[in-house]
Amino acid sequence: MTIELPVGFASVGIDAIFGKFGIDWHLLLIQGVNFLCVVFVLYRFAFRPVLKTMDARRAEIESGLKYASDMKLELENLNSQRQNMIDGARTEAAEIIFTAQQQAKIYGEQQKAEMAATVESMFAKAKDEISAERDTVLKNTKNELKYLVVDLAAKVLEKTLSQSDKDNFIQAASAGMRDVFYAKKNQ
Amino acid sequence: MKRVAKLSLMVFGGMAMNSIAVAADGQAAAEGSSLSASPEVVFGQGITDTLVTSWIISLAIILLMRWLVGAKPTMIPRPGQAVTETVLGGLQSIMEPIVGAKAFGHIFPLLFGYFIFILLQNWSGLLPGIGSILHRVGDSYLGILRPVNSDLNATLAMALISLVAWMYLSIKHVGISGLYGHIFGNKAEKNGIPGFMYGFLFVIFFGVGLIECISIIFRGVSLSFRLYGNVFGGDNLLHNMYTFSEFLTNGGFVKTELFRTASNVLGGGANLIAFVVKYLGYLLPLPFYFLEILVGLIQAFVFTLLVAVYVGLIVKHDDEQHHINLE
Repeated sequence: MTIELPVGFASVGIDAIFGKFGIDWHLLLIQGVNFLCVVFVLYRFAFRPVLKTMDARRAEIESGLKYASDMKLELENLNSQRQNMIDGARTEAAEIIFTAQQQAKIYGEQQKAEMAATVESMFAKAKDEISAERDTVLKNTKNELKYLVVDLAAKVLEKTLSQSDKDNFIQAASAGMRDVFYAKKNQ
Repeated sequence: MKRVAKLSLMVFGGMAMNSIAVAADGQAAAEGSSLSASPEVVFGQGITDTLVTSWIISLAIILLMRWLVGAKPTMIPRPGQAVTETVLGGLQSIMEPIVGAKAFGHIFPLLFGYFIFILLQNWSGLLPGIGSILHRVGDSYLGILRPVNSDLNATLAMALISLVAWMYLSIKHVGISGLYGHIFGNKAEKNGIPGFMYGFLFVIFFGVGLIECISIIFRGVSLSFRLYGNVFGGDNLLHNMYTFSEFLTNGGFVKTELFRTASNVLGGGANLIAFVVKYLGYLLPLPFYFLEILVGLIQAFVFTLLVAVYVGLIVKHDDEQHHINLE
């Protein structure tokens, strides 16, 4: 078999090329089989196990990273929940404190009002009692003084007073005592 | 730090030993200043130097990977497993977007295999003993070890496997009709152009498809020749540097016209230059080792990347078309 080359080139036979480079189908086959054997052995005992290990490692790293990412997300959620709970507790505590303060204020005011009313009523009662007692004392004193004045006048005059005299003395004494009493009171 | 120092010592020591072994032997250089483009049969039954190297390095690759990965990879990786994971993870992150997630599950063993196999086979050419351990065949001595990718049989075999894998994945993911449509189908918008023109475009696209078929076939040729050319070229470069190194270390510099001119100008000072040049000769191949480390890595990556691109072109293209149609 020959290859016809353009004018100016010598025609070159394929057999000559094969001969020059030592191409021999036996050697070609042996070299090919040798290469394929090496590839097969390397694939079986080196490439495949190594790639499998690399894939397994990659998968493990990916799952580890995913786990870490999930955990990070979960931690963020937990932190957020914790913060929300703290904020809620703070708000609730503030509300409780505010309510307690309000209630305490209301209670205090109620107590104050009640106390004031009680004091007022006690004061009024005491005033009434004192007034009643004074009136009683005044009345008794007045009665005693009336008869004392009459007796004293009778002794001074050494005569028995008639009933109309007695009444006149008593009236005069009462008027005098009233004047004295009011004068003292106004002082 | 100690480990780095130890590793550096091993690498530089290995390079220096290789350099000295070749320079001292002289036999390899006596065979000529360039290597044969084809592998040499060094043992019976047609066993070539590249085949021997291929078996030894393949076994070493398997043992190395086993040692790195261990019996069972662990969730907390050991240092060796971490190195393997870094390489495979890096390749995956580059290749998966190119091929598409759907097809990557099917092709990743082949892509990883190409990268590891080509890379370590390329770097094996820098080990002491490759090209310098000789075996007597008839009246001549031949090196029994030679980088596998400096044999077109090996690179062509890998390229053909990539074509078969491409075909399999194309049919698996887009089907035969999808593959036919991808290569020969009329890609014009039916509503956008007149009917007769649309019919005529079928012929045009069929012709384009035929060119595409040739291009697909030549992917195998380009893949194999690119890798072979780079590795064979690098191997030749190192071989020539060793030859030149041997020339210098055997005092070849004093026989040159340059030395005679230097002697006329500098007098006794030229002897000092000759002394320095003689011992610098031992270090001459060293920079080219770093170049070959880089070339080996780049070629392994390019081969793997191109296979991924070829697969991705049809599988991902089909995905996108489905996506567009759905929209």
